[in-house]
Amino acid sequence: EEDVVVLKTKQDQVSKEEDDEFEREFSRMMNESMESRKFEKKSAVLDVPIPMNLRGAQDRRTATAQEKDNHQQDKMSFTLLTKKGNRQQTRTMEVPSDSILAVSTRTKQEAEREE
Amino acid sequence: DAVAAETTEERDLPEHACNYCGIHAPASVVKCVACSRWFCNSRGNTSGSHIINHLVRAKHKEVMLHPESPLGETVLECYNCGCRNVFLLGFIPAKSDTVVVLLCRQPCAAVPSSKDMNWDTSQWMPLIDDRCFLTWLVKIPSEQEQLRARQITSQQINKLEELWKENSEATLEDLEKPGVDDEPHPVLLRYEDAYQYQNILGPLVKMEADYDKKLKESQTCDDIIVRWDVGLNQKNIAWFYFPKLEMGEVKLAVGDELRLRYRGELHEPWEAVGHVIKIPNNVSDEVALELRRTDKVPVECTHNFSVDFVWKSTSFDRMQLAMKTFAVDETSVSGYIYHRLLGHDVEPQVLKTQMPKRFSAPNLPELNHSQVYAVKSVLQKPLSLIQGPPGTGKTVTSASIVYHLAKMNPGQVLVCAPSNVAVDQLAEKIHQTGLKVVRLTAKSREELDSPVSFLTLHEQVRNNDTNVELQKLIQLKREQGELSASDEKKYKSLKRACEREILQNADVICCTCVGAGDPRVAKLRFRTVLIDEATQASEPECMIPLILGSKQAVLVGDHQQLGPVIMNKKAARAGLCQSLFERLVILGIRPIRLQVQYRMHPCLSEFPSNMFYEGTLQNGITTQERLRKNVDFPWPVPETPMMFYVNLGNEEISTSGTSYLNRTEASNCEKIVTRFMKAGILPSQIGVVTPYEGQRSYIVQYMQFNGSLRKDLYKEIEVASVDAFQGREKDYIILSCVRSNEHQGIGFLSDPRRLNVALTRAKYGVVILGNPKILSKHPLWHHLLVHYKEKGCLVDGALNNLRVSMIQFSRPRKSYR
Ligand SMILES: [Zn+2]
Ligand SMILES: [Zn+2]
Ligand SMILES: [Zn+2]
Repeated sequence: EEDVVVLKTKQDQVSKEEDDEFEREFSRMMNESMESRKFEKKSAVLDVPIPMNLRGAQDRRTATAQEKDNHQQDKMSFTLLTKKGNRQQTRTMEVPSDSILAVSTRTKQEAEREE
Repeated sequence: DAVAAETTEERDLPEHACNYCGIHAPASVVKCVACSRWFCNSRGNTSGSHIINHLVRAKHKEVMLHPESPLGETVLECYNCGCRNVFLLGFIPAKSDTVVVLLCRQPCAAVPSSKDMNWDTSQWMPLIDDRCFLTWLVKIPSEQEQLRARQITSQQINKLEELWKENSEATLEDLEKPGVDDEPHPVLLRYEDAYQYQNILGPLVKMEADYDKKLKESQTCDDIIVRWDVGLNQKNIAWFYFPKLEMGEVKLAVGDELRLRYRGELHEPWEAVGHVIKIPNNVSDEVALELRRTDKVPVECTHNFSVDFVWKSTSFDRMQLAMKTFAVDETSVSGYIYHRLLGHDVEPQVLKTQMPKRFSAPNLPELNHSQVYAVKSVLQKPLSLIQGPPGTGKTVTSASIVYHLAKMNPGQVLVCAPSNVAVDQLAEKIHQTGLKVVRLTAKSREELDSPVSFLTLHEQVRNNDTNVELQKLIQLKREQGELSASDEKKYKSLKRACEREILQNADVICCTCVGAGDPRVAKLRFRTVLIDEATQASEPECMIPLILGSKQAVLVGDHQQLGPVIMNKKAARAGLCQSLFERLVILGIRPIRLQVQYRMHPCLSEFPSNMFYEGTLQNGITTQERLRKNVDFPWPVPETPMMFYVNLGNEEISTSGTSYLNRTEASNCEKIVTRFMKAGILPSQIGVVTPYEGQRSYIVQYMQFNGSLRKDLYKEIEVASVDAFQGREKDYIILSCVRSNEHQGIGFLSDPRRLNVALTRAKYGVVILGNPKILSKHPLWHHLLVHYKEKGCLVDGALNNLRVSMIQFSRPRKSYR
């Protein structure tokens, strides 16, 4: 625990100037990125089909999630779709249950179930 | 033992270990695609995670996950368009499944989701959150791992990134090596001799020049869309939108040179240099570039252009040369000035001159007592400083001094200032006294509109009627665009002779400090020099006009307002940001202060006078003259047109990623502006001052979309940084402070000189929007808040129902430096 204290004191010493400067550089990076896309042509409407095997999978998943052991309970599984060349790939991603993504997805699911 | 274990561990770090701290858990690190270095997602002692620190510092944007990470070897990219800029990427969820994809914010996620779409774009969330990758994408290393890792500070990170730019093999250990971290020798108060002076300031100027060069040359902008036009002089003009300007670092000025290149397929590769004739303003964000060359311009093409800055070393070369001349040429300045500039103790000297009977100059306003005193004491002294607080008639005083100096002394007076605007203003005033004034501008600015174009050297050459042959050639050149080689040679020599004649016949020559290094001026000798805005020039810049033989020099400025702008932080820290004026004040030369201000309503000058001028500022203007009775505005105390309007809205990061914007303040700002305009105030007479570019553009936009009056009215309202308002005035000023954050500082607002400038721009009224809880932690702002509270001018509530605010201030921290 003493080590933690050491770390905190160090943190307090972080030069304000350096931090402010990093802050500015970061904003600039963000701005620059957005600005570089300002004149990008309107993209085609997002037309990514959801693979059949993943459709409606959430019920199954949430059900299994509940069966999982304690330290997995604070996680929710999502599938990340990526592309390799023209091939679609899927990867499983564990998202903390209290993240916005998990919370809003659960809310949606509950709303749907009630319908 | 522990130390030995640590070193072995470091030696054995795998390739994918964080280049900063050594953490190497595959789930916690990512690879920067641009430089193939690995970084972890822990913050350590810094305010952003290591990988974000790296991307920002190195300006890299693409990353790849580790093969053994949960998601496997994956390059993060937009599913739709393939964009790999992580600052633009985010997740969107499917509407009804636990499936997500990565999409770029612009344009892919900007398409609103339609009913039949599987995806919910409104739920887009950025990959980078709180300066860190989403922790479920790249794991934060455990506390244990972090404790055992190398503890690197943000300062070390900065230096390491700098090192990598020169040597990509550099490591943290290299930071310890001698020479790497050498801060330049700081400026001194006193110098042994001019060689020592040159040896200390020369390297600082070099650092600033290198930095400026690097910065300018890195500013290439691709994918520029051009709209073509032809000017009255038949030259091609390219109009385009220049996104880099939004970022604030690069300041584009009229007269700057840019290179326009075409690399598309519809025309052969082409490039040309031109100079900027219009910069973005409230009316349009477009830049206009007038091209120098007129052949083969691809006017049929509009897309695929690139723009580069053309860096010129001229101004830095002239500073270096001035310092060298100061050192090697004994006649560059008088002995007295030589020693005074170096900070040596010398007996005071009085110049033998015949004093004038009247101190006011013809056709200029009568001088007041402190102005007369200033003029009087300057005329007989070889070196003097005049401090002109806001609105005290600095320009009239300077012009009157120049008038007398020109009448009393042989030879011409050289009049300089760091900025073209200030030179123009002063040139015009001096011209009014009946003196013969020549305004010399840089060649690149000759085609630009100027309020004093009739005084410019090139215009006087054009209009001169003594040399018929030169006139013929000028006419010919205008008609044909160019001359034959022999005619061109003749034209040049005749023009030079004509210029020489005009300069020699002048009483006063006006140019910028850097302009004084122009060979046409630098060949001449000037016994008498006046430098206006001297506190805004760096010391080497001030030397350029001084070393042309000066025996009598007058520096005018105000060291309580903003100083010179130095971009390179090391050079600034070493003291390049201190003006010569300021150093001379520290050396004990007392500036003569102009004491009567004619700008501000007396209630507005009270605080700045007490805080920055020891209470000496008197009002040359009465309350009555600065009250607008028929203006219906809810000032809490009607005869005291000032208020601090409590705004507790949070500062935030805007949707475009810009930090430091404050919606509450922007919305109230619009309401106040609208109220002023409804009360009959011209939009051109209202200024909005805000320290952050993010807030500036947000306010401009907000007023356009939400203002209840005609849109074009809001366009005429100037919204700008404090620095842009220096030297100018408006009837009403609204100051939007923006910062409202418990943890961080108040940034730019903590500089007392910047606050002074912000508070002293308004003639009739000031409204400050800010969060007293946060601002009062800062001692200077605490004083300001107490002042407003005591006057009954600290209010909150709705604009049409303001109440005196009961908000408690925070306890101020001890020092504000
Ligand atoms: Zn990199
Ligand atoms: Zn790290
Ligand atoms: Zn995209």
